[in-house]
Amino acid sequence: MHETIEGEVMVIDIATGSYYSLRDSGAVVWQGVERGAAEAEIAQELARRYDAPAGEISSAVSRLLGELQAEGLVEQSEDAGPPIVVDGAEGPREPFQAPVLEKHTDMQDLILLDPVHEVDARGWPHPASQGSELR
Amino acid sequence: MSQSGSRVSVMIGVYNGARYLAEAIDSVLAQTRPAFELIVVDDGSDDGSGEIARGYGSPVRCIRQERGGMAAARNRAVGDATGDYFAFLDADDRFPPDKLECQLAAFAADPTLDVVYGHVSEFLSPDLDAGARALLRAPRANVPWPTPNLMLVKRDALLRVGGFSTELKVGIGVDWYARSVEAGLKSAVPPVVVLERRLHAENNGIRERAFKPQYLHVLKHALDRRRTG
Repeated sequence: MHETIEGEVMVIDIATGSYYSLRDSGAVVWQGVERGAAEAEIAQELARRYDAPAGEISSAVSRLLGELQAEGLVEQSEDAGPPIVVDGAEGPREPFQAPVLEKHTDMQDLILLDPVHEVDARGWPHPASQGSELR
Repeated sequence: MSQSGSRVSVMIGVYNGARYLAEAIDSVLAQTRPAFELIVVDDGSDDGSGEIARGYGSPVRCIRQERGGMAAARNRAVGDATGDYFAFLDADDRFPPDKLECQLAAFAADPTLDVVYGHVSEFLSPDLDAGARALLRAPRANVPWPTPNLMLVKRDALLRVGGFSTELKVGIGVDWYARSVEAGLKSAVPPVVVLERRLHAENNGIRERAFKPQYLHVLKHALDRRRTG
């Protein structure tokens, strides 16, 4: 499961209990993946936003996508997805820092045992569905 | 052997948990190393949970409050507790009989510890029918679980970390654990089962949907604190 919070992409792998973070250029790559964009388009998007030689950007994107696949967070699909129309206007570009996939394993035991008890619409811990009988 | 300096306050928060509450309380009263007090906070139940708790008498006592949620109930109990060590128990779980004995032994072996966790074994609630059972995942047996749900923590250490977050609906334990690590608490996770956790929720689907965003927020905030700290 994943969500972008204050510009940072947070991902949890429920199966392993590891959680990951992607910021800045990494978050842009992730959002491209979410849209189903092809690798080349993602690299293009980064090149619009960041100031770096095209070769540096495309190899950084390639490396990050490889890492995301290796961690089992994304899959390569055959379809390229709908083509993204990139508008020609270019604003000032930010200095490029290679995207980093942060991986954290310090909460593994907690995440692996999902919190069954912590949220409840009816009562916590709530009685079985057959109704609550007093013992 | 003198017991002073090692009194344990066990705290149970309950909201409409009449079905399993007595089992939880009984498991505390069956401890080989008795608790000094068992505080049950009745968080506005209307199913008789409060009556069940009040039926026991010392060392059990019941505090009634208006509905405030699990974190508020636990914090309320903490405010009322006078022990040297604190333990928490969900109203549908159970302690194995030697839980307090084992965790106190860990402290005795290393008095510099602030908090002792341990392992958990899950069990499918026996009163479930086959249909409800089918919705649950397989119970895990004897796995480490560093979480407030099974910790024994020194009073001062808990006060240093602070109470449970009343702003969260999920991730309360994860949030407290993250803050305890940031506070520098020294912990141990002895490979002993110190909690029997009941699996019985058939609304796991609801929990899944509600659980995702806030859980991720808790982890993000932990990372943010780590980066600025």
